[in-house]
Formats: sequence, structure tokens, C-alpha cells
Amino acid sequence: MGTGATASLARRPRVTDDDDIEAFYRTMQPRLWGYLRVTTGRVDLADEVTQEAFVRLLSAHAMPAAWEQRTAYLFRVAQNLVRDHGRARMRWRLEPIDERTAAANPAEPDPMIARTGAALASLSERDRRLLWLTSVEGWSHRDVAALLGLANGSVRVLLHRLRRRLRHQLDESQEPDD
Amino acid sequence: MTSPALDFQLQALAEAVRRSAGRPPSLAAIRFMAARRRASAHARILAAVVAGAAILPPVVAASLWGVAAPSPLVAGVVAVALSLGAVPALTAALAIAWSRPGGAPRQRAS
Repeated sequence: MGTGATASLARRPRVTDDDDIEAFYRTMQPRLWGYLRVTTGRVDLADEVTQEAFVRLLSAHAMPAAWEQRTAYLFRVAQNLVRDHGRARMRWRLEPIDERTAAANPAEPDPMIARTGAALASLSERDRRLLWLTSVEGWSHRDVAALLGLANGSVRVLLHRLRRRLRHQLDESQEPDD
Repeated sequence: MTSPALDFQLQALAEAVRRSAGRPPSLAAIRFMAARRRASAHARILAAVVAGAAILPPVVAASLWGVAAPSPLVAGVVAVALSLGAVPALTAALAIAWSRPGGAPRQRAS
């Protein structure tokens, strides 16, 4: 996590006191939940995996003191839990992202968000992870490659194609009067 | 569409998605579950030690008896008899050691 928002997390003081954990939970809980919500397409799974990942982090024998390492640990645990869930059951049906977000924001239904959500939902799970971690969470290509088990150099290529494809898809879906 | 525009749209989506999350479990609840998980892990280590302690004396005793036994047959019979005595203790300890952490299905924190 060498760039962007997550890089700033690494500069936090290396203290593992209650306030630090509270701040970490407040910051990372919605971010991990959002990542899981978008990549798995399921609210219940995002709820369960986010909670379980934090329980495992807090019950770890030696919890990493640095936020950067904690974040990497958290996302790795979450990814393994999702993978185990996928092995245990049939692949889940993807819920459209825009339905839930529209329900949560009834006063301001945003067509742009709905279009972006729909475009993202059309991607594969791996592509959604790749895009989200780099573009939203600000992870470096090296860290994303490590988490997703990809070759370091291939992340840049995959991401370039992915972003081009998504831009094209969003341009096409845009209404003429937008 | 430009690349910054795509990033802007993704960030807007991220905000909307995060807003759609329900109320997260309290940190206190997460901490409680983690503490229980740690206690369970310690109990499993203890159970494994007990299992080792239960199986070791009969095996050692049988081995010592085997050295001084009048015949290999007698030594074998005594070794099996002594080891069988440890089986219930070993089984119980292993059942605890291999049971799921917490001993219950995963719970949702409130």
C-alpha cells in the first residue's frame, strides 16, 4: 500500500492502545465492508466477513501495530473467508449494486452511481477487486499483486485494459441528455 | 470519458455503497468475541497437553515393562492393556482440541 489513501495510514503512530484500535475500526470497517459489498455483490456476506475479519485481527496472537500491515492482514483474511465461502457453497447470485444504494439514498437517486454500479457488476470478481483496490482504496500495484496472487507486471496491463473497458461501457450507457 | 472522471465516479459509488451499510457491530462486541476466541484457543492447547500427558505414561510404562518382561507376548499384552486405558482420556482431549473455536456456530455481534 505504497500510494494514495492507504499509504497515509502507514504514517500513523505505531501504538496499539484502545484509541488506536477504535480509530482503526472506525476507519477501516466501512472501507472493508464496501470492498466486500462490491466485489462479492452480497450484503449478508459483506456483513459476516467484515465482522469475522475484525474478530480474527483482534484475537491474533500478535496484532500488527502499523495500520498498513493491519490493513493488509484484514483484507487478506477477508479474501480467504470469501474464498472459503465460495468453496463451501455454489457461487452466489450477484445483487445489483444500484438497487441497494438507491434504497439507502431514496431522496437522491443518482443515475451516474447506478450506471457505475451496473458497469462494475458486469466485471468479473477478480476485476472488481483489482479496480476497487487501486482506484478506490489507493493500493499500490505491488500490494494488489500480492493480495490477488498476480504477477507484479500484469497488474498494470490488466488495470489499463479494465479501465479502458469500463470507460467505454460508461460512455455507451450515458444517456444523450447527460 | 477521461480517467479522472472514472475515478470520480468510482469514488462516488464507494461513498454511496458505504452509506448503504447498516449500523456496524460495536467494537466492544467484536472485542468480546475475540477474547472468547483467544480463551478457546488456550483451552485447546491445554487439552492437547492433557492428551499428551495421558498417553505418555502408559506408553513409557509399557516400554519399561517390555524390557523386563518374561516374554515378548506378555510385554505386548501389557502394553496394549495400558495404552487402552489412555484411549478414553485421549479421545476426550482430542475432541475438545479439534472442536471449532468457541464451540458454537459463528455469532453475529450486535
